[in-house]
Amino acid sequence: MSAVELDCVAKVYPNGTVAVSELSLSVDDGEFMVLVGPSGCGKTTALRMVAGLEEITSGTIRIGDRTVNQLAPKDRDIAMVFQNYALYPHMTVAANIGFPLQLHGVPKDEIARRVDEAATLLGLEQLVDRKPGQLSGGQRQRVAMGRAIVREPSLFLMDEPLSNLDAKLRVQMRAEVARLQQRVGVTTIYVTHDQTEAMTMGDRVAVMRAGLLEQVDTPQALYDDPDSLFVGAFIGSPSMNLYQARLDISGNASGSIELGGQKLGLPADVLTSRPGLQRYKGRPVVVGIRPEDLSEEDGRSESDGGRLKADVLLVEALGSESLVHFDLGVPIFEVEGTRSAVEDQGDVAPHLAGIGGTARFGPRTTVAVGTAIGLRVGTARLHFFDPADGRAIRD
Amino acid sequence: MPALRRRLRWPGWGRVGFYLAVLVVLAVSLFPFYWIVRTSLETSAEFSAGTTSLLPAHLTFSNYTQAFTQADFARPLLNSAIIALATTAVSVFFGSLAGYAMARLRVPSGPILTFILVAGFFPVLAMVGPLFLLYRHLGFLDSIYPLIVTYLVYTLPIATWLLRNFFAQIPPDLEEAALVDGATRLRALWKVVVPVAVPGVFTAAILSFILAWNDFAFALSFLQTPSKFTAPLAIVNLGQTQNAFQVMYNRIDAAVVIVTLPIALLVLLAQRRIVSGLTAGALR
Repeated sequence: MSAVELDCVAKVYPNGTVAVSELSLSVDDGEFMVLVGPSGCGKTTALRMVAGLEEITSGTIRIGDRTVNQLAPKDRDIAMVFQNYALYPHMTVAANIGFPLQLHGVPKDEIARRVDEAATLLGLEQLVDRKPGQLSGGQRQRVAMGRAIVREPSLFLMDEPLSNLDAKLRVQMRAEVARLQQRVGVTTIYVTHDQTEAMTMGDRVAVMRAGLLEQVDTPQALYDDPDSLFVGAFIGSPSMNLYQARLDISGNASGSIELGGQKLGLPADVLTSRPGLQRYKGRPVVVGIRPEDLSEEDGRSESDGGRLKADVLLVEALGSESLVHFDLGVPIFEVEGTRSAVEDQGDVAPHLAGIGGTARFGPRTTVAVGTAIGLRVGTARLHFFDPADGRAIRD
Repeated sequence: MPALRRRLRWPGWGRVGFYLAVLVVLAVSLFPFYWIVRTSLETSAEFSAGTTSLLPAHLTFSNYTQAFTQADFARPLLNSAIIALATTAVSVFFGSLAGYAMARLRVPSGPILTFILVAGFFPVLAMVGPLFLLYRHLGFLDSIYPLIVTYLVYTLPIATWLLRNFFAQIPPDLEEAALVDGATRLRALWKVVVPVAVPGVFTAAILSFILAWNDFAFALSFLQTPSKFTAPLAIVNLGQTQNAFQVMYNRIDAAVVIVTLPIALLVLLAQRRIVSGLTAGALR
């Protein structure tokens, strides 16, 4: 077990393509760190550089107290799980799991004992004599995990290990991998494009875009307090509703934002908790509203928050809740790179992406398609971003 | 009911024609082999008496035993085996290394591959003259080992080319997994890549072996002493007797069968290994 430290690590390919630029990231001993981002963001390249499968153009990578820049993969004391598992097709399950031990000159009976242990831990006892070709996807995935844990390395690297499984198995293996990691307690760097996987598995999550690290934090902090439009839009499912709006501040007390033709009042504490908003007085901002911060206007409460009127486009009753897709009459603010990533995850009906917004209502909602409704906005939990550079506006 | 009627028309003239054509092709290609085997089982007297029937009158293995007792056919067989096996081993070893490099490293392998193919198909007789002069200069003549080098000129390019194509199909993830698991590049090659490319390795080995085993032109040009002859070369001498006008074709044919057997067995055995789909299960 050891901590991992990436210091200004960059990867530039000979043709000038910058895959990763100036990535600085420290992973604590025993931590489960998830690298997440849309495809092509450099997360896999970053992982491969830690593995030693990709040369580093500049910067330093330390595993434990060793600088590993020049070390071959075999000398880094790491184990890796590949997206397609990369099991050795000519070897049995037992030989696959035992291969790293064999390469490290572990005695035969010791190998047999440890392979047995790993196979038991992963529920593969019955399959040790099979070849990978005779296994199902989930079983192959487990063998790949077994091959990783058997050597008790100081670092696990996982490159989208669940992306080839079907949805149900993916959810199951998600829990299994996380449980396994907690059990063996080995520092883990896990790459995925799936923000749900990132949120549910990671102790901390590093969001990457276009070779740059956008933000590193715990899943909840990323969700509650995104540093940038990109993180705000990428993390969360259904994703944050983002609109371009104009900010008006009257005096110092309260203000409002203009969303299309509608005005949304902002109480004083919204402005005081985000002093940076003063600089955007009379200027456009991007406002972000999480679907759960929009609730159904019931005509009774007159408490906090403003109200918006919207037309209902679609109601998806999920049993535990209903997702209400609506149109505010304002185009949603497109964040480069997130749209496709979000659609990839299949959370948004493609014909709705780009026009409306989503609200999370209770399961018993009576809202009907085609009607106009009032939405109560939890203004205290609004997010504000600079439309030019996409940074969050706070102080 | 058109569907039923079509089924009743079985086997259909197209199908009959197809199998007839297959039969003709089989007969044309197998008949010479049959005739060799038949002749090799005849006595000299029967052979001289002329052929009256498709089947031999009665079978004798005397030609086979004589090939070893009177003509010492074992020696050339051993020579051929040494040469062919050595050629095969060297071809597969270096072909693997070169093919792997071309499949994985960022080298412009296109022109190299073209050159390799052209070299592999260079006319044999065009090579005999220059190589003879070169070998005479080097003192390589009348020795079996230089023949190995000669055959490599042909087998190594073919093996390299074949293996390169097989390696290129193997996902790089497999070796990378081996690298991370603790292997060096070379160890990953021998422990993972080559075993996964077994169909390719077998194909390359068999082609190399057959080429070296069957060669006549080079052996005829470079060898003089009968004890150093390869099997194909020895077969020619095998038919000669004291009587200059009599050629023992039946003994020649016995030797031909002996020489052909290893190749036929090799291909039959390897056929099972040359099944594709061996990579099934590596991925996904």
